[in-house]
Amino acid sequence: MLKVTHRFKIGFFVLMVICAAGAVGAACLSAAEEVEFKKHESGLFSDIFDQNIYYEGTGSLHLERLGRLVFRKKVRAEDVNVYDEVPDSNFFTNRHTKNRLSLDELEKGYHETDTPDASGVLTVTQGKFAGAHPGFRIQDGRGDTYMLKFDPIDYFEQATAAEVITSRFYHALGYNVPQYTIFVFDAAKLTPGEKAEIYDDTGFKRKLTKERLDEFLLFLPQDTEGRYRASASKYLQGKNLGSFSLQGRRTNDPDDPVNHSDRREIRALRVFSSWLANYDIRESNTMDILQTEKGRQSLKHYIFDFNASLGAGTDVGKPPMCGYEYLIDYGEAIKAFLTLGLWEKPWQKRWREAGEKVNQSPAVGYFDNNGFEPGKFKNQFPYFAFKDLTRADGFWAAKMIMTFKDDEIRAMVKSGQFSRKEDADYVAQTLIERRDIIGRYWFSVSNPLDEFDLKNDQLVFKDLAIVYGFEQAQGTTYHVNVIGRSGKKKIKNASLQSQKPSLTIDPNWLASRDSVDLWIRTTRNPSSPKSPYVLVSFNSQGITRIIHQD
Amino acid sequence: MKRRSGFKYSFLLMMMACLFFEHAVIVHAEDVSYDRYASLYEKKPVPPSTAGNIAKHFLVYPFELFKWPVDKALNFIEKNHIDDKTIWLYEKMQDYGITPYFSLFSINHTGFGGKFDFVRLAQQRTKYPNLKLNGWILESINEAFDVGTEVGVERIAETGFGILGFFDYQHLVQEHFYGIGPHTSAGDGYVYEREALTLASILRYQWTPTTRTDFRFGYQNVDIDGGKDGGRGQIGEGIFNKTLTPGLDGDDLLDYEVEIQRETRNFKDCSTRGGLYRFNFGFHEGVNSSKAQFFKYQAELMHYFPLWSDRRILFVRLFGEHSDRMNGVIPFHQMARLGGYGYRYWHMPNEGQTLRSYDYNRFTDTSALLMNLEYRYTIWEYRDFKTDAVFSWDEGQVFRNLDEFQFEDFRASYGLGFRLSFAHHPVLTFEMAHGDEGTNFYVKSHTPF
Repeated sequence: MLKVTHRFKIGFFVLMVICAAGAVGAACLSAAEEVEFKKHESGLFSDIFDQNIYYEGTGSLHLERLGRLVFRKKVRAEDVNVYDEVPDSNFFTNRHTKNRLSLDELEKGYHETDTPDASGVLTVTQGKFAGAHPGFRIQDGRGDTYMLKFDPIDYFEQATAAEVITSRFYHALGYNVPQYTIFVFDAAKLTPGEKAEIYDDTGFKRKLTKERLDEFLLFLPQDTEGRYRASASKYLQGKNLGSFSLQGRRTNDPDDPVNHSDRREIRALRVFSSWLANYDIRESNTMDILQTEKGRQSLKHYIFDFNASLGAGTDVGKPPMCGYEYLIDYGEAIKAFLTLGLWEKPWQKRWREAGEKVNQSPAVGYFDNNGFEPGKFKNQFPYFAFKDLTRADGFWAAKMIMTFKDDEIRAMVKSGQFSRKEDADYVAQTLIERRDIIGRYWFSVSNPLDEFDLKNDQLVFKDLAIVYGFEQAQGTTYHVNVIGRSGKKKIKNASLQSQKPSLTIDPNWLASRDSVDLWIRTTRNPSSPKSPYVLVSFNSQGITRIIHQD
Repeated sequence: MKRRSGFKYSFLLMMMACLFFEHAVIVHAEDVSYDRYASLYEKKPVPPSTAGNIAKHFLVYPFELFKWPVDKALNFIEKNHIDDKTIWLYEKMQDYGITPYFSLFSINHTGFGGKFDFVRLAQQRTKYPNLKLNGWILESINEAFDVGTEVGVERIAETGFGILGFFDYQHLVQEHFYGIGPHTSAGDGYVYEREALTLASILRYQWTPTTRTDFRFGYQNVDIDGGKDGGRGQIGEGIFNKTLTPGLDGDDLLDYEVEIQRETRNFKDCSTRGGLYRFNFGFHEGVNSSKAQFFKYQAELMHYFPLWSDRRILFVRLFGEHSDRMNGVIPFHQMARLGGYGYRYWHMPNEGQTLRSYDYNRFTDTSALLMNLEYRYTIWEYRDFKTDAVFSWDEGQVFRNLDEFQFEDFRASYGLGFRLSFAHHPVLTFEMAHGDEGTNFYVKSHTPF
């Protein structure tokens, strides 16, 4: 009896401890809700560990992910609207696709000032004088702060042009980026700030002196007039709250309800990065800025640091494996292991064909379309968001890329201010070709129908593969299943085919039905397999839903 | 005239039509009758529920406890430039001729020490480019202590001649002996302690930057004592006695050697081309009470064959050793030995040659023949980092005289490993090798060849 009482006491005590822990946990949770927008720290090392080791190992322990893996289930992006588009948010603003930007706007990109004000002195306030991309922070005559980053000594214009050009593309596509400009200046304008400190190659913080600054400048390339050239990124207004996750979300941000790996614009960064060869998209190259607009605080999400895009990468140009393999790529390593090293990887073939050296101009770096396969492009880290990219996401990204006309691409490349016209032409031409390769690929794996509209008794749409000349109109057939819906009840109304990108709507389809679903698949010739579907729903009011198959 | 202006207008209209057409092929958002970018959702995005999150991710939570401190530590390292500081410190030490050594694979294999280039340490390398004044010290707990120095001039007055002095004291507390001959048993393991003092002078002639000849005169004092390794046989037990195992009393030896060496490897540690070819001939004579007197011949040929790429390397090594007894004996500690990874510490004279699936110094006799074959190929590269997979095959045997040599006495070892390197320097290697006495696993920060 005594023992039973004793056990009861112990049991009661354990229960109390659990309750107390629960109460403390709940209190902490509610306290956390009150603490708004804590700074989220991340860096290259933690990105390597998290993405290349931790999540690669524990990814399948997420039951949801395991389910996706086992059943090969594609998960639809959660932030898309009923028209299969991404509405504007703090992550993304539909810019060029919504309201076409002028050539001038495209060339200028996100624009607050032209360049740092070099009419007076430029005070160096902080710096990093070591690493692949050294640079320093300056304050100009207007009191604005900029980060200046430079080119490797033998690759004048390479990293600076890449950074500025790529920022223009991301901005036009719809992402938030800081202002980047090419800034050419005389060393005489620079003066070390009173409290300026730098990290040199020792890793120790040192006071910045004029001698140290001059010594640093010795290792930077100069133009023919002895001036220095940098990419100048203007510091953003607002409180910097560190990086944002490319996977989860800020749980206390009311504007951030969707896990970032389920945001289409985050997933699609993989496609845009493939266009711009920007393999270095990672969490530590993102930034959350707390801004106040119309009396309301909100977090605006930025991406930055593009000096490893296009042909740039390190102090000698882009490493040949970048874009083809993750930093640690278990799959590729296993393939190489199992084939006893006899299989030549695509990047190894390309590198061999290039003579195992950067074969373009030093200002361009290692950038061409030889062996470029958009569907196989890999960023440096295997973020879930990039792995989760579906055909619908890819199609969305590709159709945005295809909206850029040749002269618009050239306008954005112009912002890199290459001193040689041939370099600018080469980069622009490579991007133009790359655009088409991307469009051709994503339109071939999806059903590239867009611009659905009801006009009179017709459903009209555009077949983007035909619009952009990737496929012939002749031979193309659109196969449509018409399903009527009444509440949850679905009734097949008709099956029809059309050789034109339009369908005549039979008024009977809507008779005694709430809405009609059109499941449209495309074939390019009689023997070709049917494409994935596009689901278009409409009712008497108009189009109510568009879904491209994921 | 009118015709001309009509033509102009038609041309203008045509151009405008073309422009319109060009514009028309570009998709426009405003073409549709609805706002396609409107925030209209079939199901408005809502944050996932806490319960839902827990249900989906509960298996991961224990690992998050591990992730959190690692992330924090890595961010701290990056933010405070600890990596830069460490690299700088290491490079600075290298500039000053100091190469540190750490081994932390287990408590029993904890080692530390360093190599020192005293000329660099005194910042006199530029002034005396040919002067050699090196030292080393190493302590490997419960295994070895080694201290030594090398002094000399590599090139005298810009000729090919050089002269070097060598001193080394070594104390190995648990060396293993399994008997002499090819048919010994791994179960007959004995342990002993070996203390060796070596003094030598080397006269060198460098024929070309890759080829040299060394004339070496040396003195060795070797003391053998009971070793510390519980469960193994001690001196005097079984075959480990003075009758069957010469040299158990220790020896004082005078060494006269000549060695010809040609080295064409492109990297010392992770070579992909070239090779090392070495021939050594020596006469060794016991002094004081030692009865040793023998000739020793050694040949080592290793070559790296790139197979149409530096990413695929076939490595071949042939090694042979034979000792001829004169009027005295050949001490067991001077005999040819096979077994183990082939590289334990920096200075290991008479180290067991590489036969990976067998224990260190598993086979001992007056002669040895060995072939090492490796097929290495790169399976991962990122910038200067590289991982090679290695398939190895070691085939070797010890024997007394050539007439006792039998093909069936060859012992084979097959292995697989992975070697991570940075800028052609080995960082970490994992290797396993299997043979008829079991499987050995090696985790090292260097490679055997």
